[in-house]
Amino acid sequence: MEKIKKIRKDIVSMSVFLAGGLCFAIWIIPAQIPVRGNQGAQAFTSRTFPYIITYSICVVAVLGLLSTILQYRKLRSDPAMREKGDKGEQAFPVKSTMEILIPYIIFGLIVVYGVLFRSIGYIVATVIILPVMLFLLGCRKWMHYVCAGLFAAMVYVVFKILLLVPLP
Amino acid sequence: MIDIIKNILTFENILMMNVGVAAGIIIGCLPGLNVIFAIAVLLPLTFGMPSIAGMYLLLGAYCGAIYGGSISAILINTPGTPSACATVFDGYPLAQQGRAGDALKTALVASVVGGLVSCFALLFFAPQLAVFSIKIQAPEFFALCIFGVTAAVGIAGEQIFKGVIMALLGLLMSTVGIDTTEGTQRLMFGHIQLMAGLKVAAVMLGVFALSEVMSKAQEVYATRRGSSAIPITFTKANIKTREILSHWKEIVMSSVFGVIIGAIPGTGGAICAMFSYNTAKRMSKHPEQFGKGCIEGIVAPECGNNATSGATLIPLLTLGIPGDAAVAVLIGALTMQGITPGLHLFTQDKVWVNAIMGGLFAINILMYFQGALFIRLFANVTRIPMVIMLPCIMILCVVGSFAINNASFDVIVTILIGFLGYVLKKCDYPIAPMTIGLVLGNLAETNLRRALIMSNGSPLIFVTRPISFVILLISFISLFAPLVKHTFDKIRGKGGVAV
Repeated sequence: MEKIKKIRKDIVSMSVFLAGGLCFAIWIIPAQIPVRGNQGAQAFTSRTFPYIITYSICVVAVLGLLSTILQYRKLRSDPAMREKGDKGEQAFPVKSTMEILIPYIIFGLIVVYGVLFRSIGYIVATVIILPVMLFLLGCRKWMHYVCAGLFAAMVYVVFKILLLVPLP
Repeated sequence: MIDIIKNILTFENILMMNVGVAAGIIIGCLPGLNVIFAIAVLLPLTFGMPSIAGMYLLLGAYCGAIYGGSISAILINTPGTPSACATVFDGYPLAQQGRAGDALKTALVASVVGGLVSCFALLFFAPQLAVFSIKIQAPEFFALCIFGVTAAVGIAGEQIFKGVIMALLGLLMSTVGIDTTEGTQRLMFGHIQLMAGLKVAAVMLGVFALSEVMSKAQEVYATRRGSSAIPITFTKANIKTREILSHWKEIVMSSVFGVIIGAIPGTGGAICAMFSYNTAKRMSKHPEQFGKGCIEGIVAPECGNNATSGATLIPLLTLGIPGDAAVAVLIGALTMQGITPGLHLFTQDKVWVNAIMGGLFAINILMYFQGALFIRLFANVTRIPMVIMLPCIMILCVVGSFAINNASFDVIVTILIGFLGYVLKKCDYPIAPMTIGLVLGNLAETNLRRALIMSNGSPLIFVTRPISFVILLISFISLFAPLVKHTFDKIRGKGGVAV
């Protein structure tokens, strides 16, 4: 079951790359890379290299897709695997919703930190986001909050005072 | 000569070497954080520094992190970096016998010896390769870029299609910005900040460091009640350095392997460590002792993996081709300082080559003293809970990406690339080919264009010139060899081809 799930994931990702490659080749490259009048006759324009890459992505994605589909069909036709599927065996340990969502929540928090960093500055953004992140990760020891805070202060000193980076 | 030494051994340079080594050891001994991460995180600190001091900080981190991986391998049975994967086999059993200090000292001495041998290799072989590289023209350079990219795909192991897609994605990312030949805007989507292209440093911070924050968050949350205490108590080392050096056969053999393997793009310390360990075991008079805590079992992999450190710089300094993803990040640092690695470093910017070669020697010697004096302190680093590390890494990434150009736009790039990196890692896509593709993209395109101009548009130029033909042939063999091997295995009924 684990293998089937992995292959399904591969089929989706390869399809995304194929679709993305086609989008680039058909719409994005013509729209985003202008070719000047006198360049049209040249063999190698600004578009050539991106075109070579995107078409290569499409070809490799198709090959990858075919390969994964073949593997998927082979696995599905395997009687042992089908039996497992029928019995509904749980190959994975059950994860809580929070456990699944935590990377995305952390990503959201990083985005918020980036926005606050730009708008209200490093110190305030860090004071707000750092404890929230520690709390979300399950940190309940005050000492850990102090350590992370000290690190944040050290980063400020190093970048702002020693390296003269104009932090917002 | 004295002038070179004087230039290298300034207070600032020595300080940066020490800081780099210490940071590298600390990051290296934290499981899950690797050499690339160490360099990527320290990269922003170099922007405001003199170029040589900044380079020493990163080189120190590079060497320190390779060694640092052995500390957690010995003390908590978890290799801090993939390079230390073979150190676990004998390091941990030796520590379990109450000889943790001996195991750590053995790893330190072997690492330093391996590193010094690697420096000599860099010193002697890099100029030879540089002389050879004079013969190289645009078609050969393009072939070398293809070789670098296909070698990086080799890192992906059996996941050939995924590796190739990632390398192509990296090449596509390298086309963002103004086309330097024709002055055309490419894939900028109206953002003037992308005129100079995607900043390699911003991409590296996102793809290696920030994505790791998201990946590790799940692990940290799942094990939030667990602690990362050291199960083995630290003991003082009783083993003498000469006892370790008495295993000279393993040291020489592993160092040679390290230099050879390290100089081949797309290989790296982990492969060399495993290869050295297996060879030492096969050649040993008492192979039954391997895996039970024998000294040779630590000497061989540690010497081997550190011997790759200088050797990976040989293709970088002579041809401008990164040997692995860690060196690709170093290229990013060099580029930020306005230095383009390649042959002209040996002809025009010789100061740089001397500084790097001499600096590596000094770094390895400093690493020995740091390891000998502060090993207990470094061992305690494995106690730092990941829950503290993650927010700290996030802060460092955001501030670091801002510091690249003092622009918030780079922060946005880092965050978005970080998320992309997380999703790709989750789908088992290897990241290293993408970074090498990004670094080599411009070089590849420029030389492809020049080669086609040379041949009036005929792509046959790549196969009619012997050097470029041989390089391309090796590239395609290295790319398709795992696929062919798997097909044969499949025919014999051993298994299928992984995507």
